[in-house]
Amino acid sequence: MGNMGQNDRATIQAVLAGDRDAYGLLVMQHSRMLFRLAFRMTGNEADADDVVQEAFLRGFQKLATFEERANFGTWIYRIAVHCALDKLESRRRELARQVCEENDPEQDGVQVADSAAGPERLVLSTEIGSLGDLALQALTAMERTAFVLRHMEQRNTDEIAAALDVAPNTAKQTVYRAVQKMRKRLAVLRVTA
Amino acid sequence: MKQMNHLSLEGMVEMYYKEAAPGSYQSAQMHVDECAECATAYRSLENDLKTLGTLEAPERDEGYAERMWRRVAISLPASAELQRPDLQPARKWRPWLLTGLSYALGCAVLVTAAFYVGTVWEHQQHLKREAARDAQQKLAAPQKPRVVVVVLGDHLDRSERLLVELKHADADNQELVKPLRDEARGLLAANHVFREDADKSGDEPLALALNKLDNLLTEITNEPGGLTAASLERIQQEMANEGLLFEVRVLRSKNPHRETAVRVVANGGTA
Repeated sequence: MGNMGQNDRATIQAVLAGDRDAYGLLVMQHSRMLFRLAFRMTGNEADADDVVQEAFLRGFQKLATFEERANFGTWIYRIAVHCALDKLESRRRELARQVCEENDPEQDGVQVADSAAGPERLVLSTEIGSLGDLALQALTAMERTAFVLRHMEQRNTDEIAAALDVAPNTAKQTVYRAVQKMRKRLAVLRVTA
Repeated sequence: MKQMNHLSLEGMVEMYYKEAAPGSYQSAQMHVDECAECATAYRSLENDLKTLGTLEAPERDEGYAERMWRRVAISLPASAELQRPDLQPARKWRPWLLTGLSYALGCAVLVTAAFYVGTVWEHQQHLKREAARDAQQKLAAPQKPRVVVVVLGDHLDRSERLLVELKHADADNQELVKPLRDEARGLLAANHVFREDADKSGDEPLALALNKLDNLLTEITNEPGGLTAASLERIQQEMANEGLLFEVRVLRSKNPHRETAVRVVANGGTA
């Protein structure tokens, strides 16, 4: 890890000195790790690829602000978390817009998609996704991110707080709230299934 | 020993993720071991969280990283150094400068556009005022009649030609009939003037003939809807009855002195 960090730092220096192609080494070094995170947060491969690409682009643009003592992997990981959050938010807005258009094309207001699944929808959904996937759909973008980082990425509260730019207690409460919501959703899903 | 209260769900979540402080974690673990109720609740939580799984991402092949780099490289700016604030202090204010210049340029364009629009508007208003004033002057000023000099001989000559054409006119051929009406209107003013002269001078034959001609020209000019077959036939009949064409010819041949009489006539009105 130490070597890897030193290698990253050397590569970053090269990029900052004008060797644009050197950034490719960083991309190739960390892209799989970012893809795994992005997939867990977005739930599909295409969105995950977009998130990885966007994260590396933002990373390149902000590379001059990267502190030499920091770990590039951690740094780019946090950037990817924000990119994934943005992706989830834009997807939610798009879904809300589609729901609005499908319901009433002439209505001016924007309707928000109902995240509480009815029994029929749940039965149908059970056929196309695992219980875990469906339970995740009950969460907001922030809750999903916090939960993924905690439960799947095994990040501790401080790391989650740093990645989300929130206080540690807020990060802990967000994870707790996510667990509560998903347990309720699981209870409904099990009864329906 | 004081008995520990039941674990809250939040405490259990902390315990599950091993987030609790070491001492608290051991106490909580001991309580769960001893308390059947909390043990059941904890197992339920464990079961749920295991159900949620880890959402394993699909495997990416060896070429994934390289493909991703190609995707990223396409969109990269020329150099990352460009954004390094400590190395490029001037770039800190460059966006502000650009923004400021953009605003200044926008304001200049707006002011210029406003000035131009104002100038054009003022010019148009000026033209409108000029036009209105001209119109007012035209209305206020007496209309100057067009003045023409008419010789009686010419008038009689034109009248004779008109009468001949009327006599032989075919109402079905409107292209030939319509100019006759215009010609009659043109002769009317001069005829009126020469008739008054004849009355004043006591030239009764001339006055009588011009009076008949006056009636005829007025009738042709004011015929509603122009000269139709019926109206033309009626006029031709009147001409024959009164022998107007004959009288005009006699006046031209027997009174050559009259042909030198000249009057200034207002065309389209009385002199």
